[in-house]
Amino acid sequence: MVALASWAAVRIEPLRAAPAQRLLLLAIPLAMLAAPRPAAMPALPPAAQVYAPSDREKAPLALSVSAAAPADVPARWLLPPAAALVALSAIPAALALAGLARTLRGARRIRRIRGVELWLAPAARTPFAVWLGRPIVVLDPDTAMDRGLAALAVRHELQHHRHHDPQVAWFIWALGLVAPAALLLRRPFTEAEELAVDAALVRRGEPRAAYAAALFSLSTRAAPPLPLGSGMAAFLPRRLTMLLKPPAPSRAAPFVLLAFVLLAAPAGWAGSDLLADHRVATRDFREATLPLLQDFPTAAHPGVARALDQLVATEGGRRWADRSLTSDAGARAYVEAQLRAAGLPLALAAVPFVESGYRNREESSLPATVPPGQRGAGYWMFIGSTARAYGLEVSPARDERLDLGRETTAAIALLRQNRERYGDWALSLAAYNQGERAVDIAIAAGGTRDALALADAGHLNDYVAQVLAAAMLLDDPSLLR
Amino acid sequence: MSDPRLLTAAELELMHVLWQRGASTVAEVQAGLAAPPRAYTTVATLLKILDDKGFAKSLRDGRRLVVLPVVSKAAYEATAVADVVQRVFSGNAAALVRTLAATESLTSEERAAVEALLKAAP
Repeated sequence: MVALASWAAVRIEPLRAAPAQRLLLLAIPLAMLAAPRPAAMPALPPAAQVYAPSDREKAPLALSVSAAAPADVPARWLLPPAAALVALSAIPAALALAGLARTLRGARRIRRIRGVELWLAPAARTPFAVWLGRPIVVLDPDTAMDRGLAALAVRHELQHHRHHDPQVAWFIWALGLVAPAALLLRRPFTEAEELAVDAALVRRGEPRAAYAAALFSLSTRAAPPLPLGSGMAAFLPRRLTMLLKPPAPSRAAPFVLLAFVLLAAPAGWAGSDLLADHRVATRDFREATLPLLQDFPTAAHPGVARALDQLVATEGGRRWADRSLTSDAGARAYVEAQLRAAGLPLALAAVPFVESGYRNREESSLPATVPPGQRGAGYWMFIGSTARAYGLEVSPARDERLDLGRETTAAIALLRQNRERYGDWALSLAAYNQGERAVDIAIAAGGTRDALALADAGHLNDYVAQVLAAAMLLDDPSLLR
Repeated sequence: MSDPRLLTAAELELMHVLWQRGASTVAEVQAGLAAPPRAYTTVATLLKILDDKGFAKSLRDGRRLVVLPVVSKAAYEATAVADVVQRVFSGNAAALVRTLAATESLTSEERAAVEALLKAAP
């Protein structure tokens, strides 16, 4: 009944169905509690007088089911089918849990926005919101790569948390354990939740066309259904229609809503403020997406312009940039998270882009022309001596430069130390690439501490300009169009 | 350096702002861009590239740095079309016009205008 009513609600009043559905949902456990027991059913004799249950049959859930059995059927005959029924009911929930665990394998927390954690999950195909004792927004690597899409996806999933949709998903699955038919609610509920989130975001000023385009872009990815999460790419045709051609308010709406309220009267205590926004302010979200280029000079420099032109407007540069942008989104998100945690500028995430193109390179993969003492490895391309100085093991048996976590920790320590020494990020980057000695000599020879000017004068190479140009591209991949 | 005659999509976006606004500061060009927004540093750097390629010129106006377009929109359109004719149509401009007429839905007025332009061309 409730599933049918939920489905009807989405068809009749798509944008207002979600709160009505929740009131209906509360009616289920209330109805189960209030359902009258058969009057003729006598109390069961103590179990010990009927039979001696085996250990397996002592499971509390199985015994509670047997308590409802008519007394004229021996409980021993009912217990195994009852246990089997409960076990069967648990299968979809177990599969859902396994699916969620698979999707979240290798996921890392990359940010915390007040009460909500932002995770990057390499195995995820689309963004989604999930409740694991705390609200979590999960981004897939493809979405994380596209800054505009990622920001929109986060806004979308945060809205799901404001609506408490992930908790409702758990509630339905829990209800499905005792009343498997409750699982029929997932689809109409999810559809109504998505429509409600879309409507809320548009009300908050999200441009309809751009939002619809983002939904469409996400829907082109083949993704398994999300049994326990609230995903962004589902129910596309209907949602696009709602976004681009919103329906006029139905004349039947007041009557439909009145009917829902009457149906769900016993659950009236739940209150009407189910969609209250009380978790994440827009300001918090803006703070969470600070520009990548903060802490760097804003004036254009000829060397950086040359490096950017080389990167985005020449055939070789574009090929390198394109491969590097798409090679390992998970590693890049990890590096950015570590930089953020260390309080360093996110533009430094451009260092592995320039060094290795975000590929975990082994020393042996380098061209033979690179001299032995200068052969780097890993994403950050540490040479052996520097790696050892920062506590990494580099031996024929083990090369810790290939461990992203260990090498990133070492790189952050090196960059921080350079920054303390020179008091300037550009000189720190030059020292990362050419060493402190070369930078000290260049400063003495050039009579300036401007790393870009030292490069112009030929005292340093153009590494700093390359990193700054790469940081611009990471900040704005559309430069490659 | 890239081909100095042609622009990337991002550079062309900036030129459209300059063609529309005339002399502008970096902040004005940044504000004139359609979504998605671009960082100030990125806009300043792209304007420097346009200066290097000879499409724009940066001048100091008192304490402000203003950029003005030095290649007209019509001149760039001619260069871009010539490049397409050369690279895609092997130098055969008639093939371009034929393709345009076959694949683009031209109204009768547009068709007449094209014919008049072709007749008037030297």
